[in-house]
Amino acid sequence: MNKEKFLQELREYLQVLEDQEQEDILEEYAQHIDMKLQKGLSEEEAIRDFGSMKELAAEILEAYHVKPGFRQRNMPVPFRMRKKEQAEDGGNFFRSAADFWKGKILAAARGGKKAFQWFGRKCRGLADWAVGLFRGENARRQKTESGKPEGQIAAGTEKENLPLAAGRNGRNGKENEKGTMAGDMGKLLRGIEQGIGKLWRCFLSLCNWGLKTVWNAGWLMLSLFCAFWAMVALAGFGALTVLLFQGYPLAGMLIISFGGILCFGALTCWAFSMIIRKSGKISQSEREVQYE
Amino acid sequence: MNPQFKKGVLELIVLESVRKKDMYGYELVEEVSEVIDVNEGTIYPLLKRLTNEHYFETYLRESSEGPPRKYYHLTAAGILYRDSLAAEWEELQERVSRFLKERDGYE
Repeated sequence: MNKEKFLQELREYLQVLEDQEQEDILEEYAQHIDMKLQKGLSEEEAIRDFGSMKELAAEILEAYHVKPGFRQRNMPVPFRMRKKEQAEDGGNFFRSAADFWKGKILAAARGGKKAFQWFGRKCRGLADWAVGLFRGENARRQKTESGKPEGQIAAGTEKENLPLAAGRNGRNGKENEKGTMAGDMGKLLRGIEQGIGKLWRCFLSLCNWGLKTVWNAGWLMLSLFCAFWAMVALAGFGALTVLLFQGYPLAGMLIISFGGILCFGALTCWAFSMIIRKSGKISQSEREVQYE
Repeated sequence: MNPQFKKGVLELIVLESVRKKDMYGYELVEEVSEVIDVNEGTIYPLLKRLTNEHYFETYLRESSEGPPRKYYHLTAAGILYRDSLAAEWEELQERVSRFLKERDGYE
């Protein structure tokens, strides 16, 4: 690298600084290199002594209390790097699209879960009310029919066991037995609600699995289809080569079948590469990227 | 030598060099290189930082060969800063060597 190129490249790293400051520091480096030349060194040697350009630029920026990473996000960067970054962007396109849809689906799933929970709560409330009504009448009937002792025993034991359930139903002490029965019912309903939650989660993972399977199956079919045509083209290519050597005017067809081999071969590889193999590994690497 | 050692003490060496007489960049780099082996490129950012923090003043002076040179001059604040750094260095060096000697005594 010669002096001009070195200064040019260093200037690109220092875009974030004021022009005056850039000139100032670059002037120092230019003079340094000139001095080295006077001492009989070559430009290359003088510049090699500075070490890595990136580290040097980082150190200069540090002297101004500028974040060295700032340039990478907001500033024009040397051409070479720009190209590299663009290439990386292209590679990430499918992944970012996938992430986008993943986010949407997860949001929808969360919404669905909430709706189910709400539905479950309403169901429970309704059932509680219905049970309370029913049990209330029942208990009243019991009290009148079978007398006090049973009711009192039930109240005595169950009051201690399930004060919460009794409180929740807001009944008074006299009608405790009614409350505790509703409490039992509440427990059962909570169980059902949890069951619904579990079912929903199972359903989601099943959906996920199903979607992945359908996706994979689709791409596998496509890749098999393309592979089949690639094979056909290959067979045709072989046959046409033989015929061509026998003197038939089939050069055009030969080229076409060769194109077919390349085209279908590439499509096969592409379709095969779209198959999701292990979601766990991908998400692991994604997480690592995020932590970085 | 450990580059971390160098980095810490480089500032002190630069300040001390300029204290004796005003110097321009390349001259200073040569002087510092005699004391410790350091990447020459890293001295200019240091000079820049010390100038921004008002420990150095700069002025241009014509030279017989080539363009005018930028000279660095140590300010009053720079002298105070140099003294505090030198004191810190003495203390640190003393403590570390005493600690190392004590360890030798045990063995």
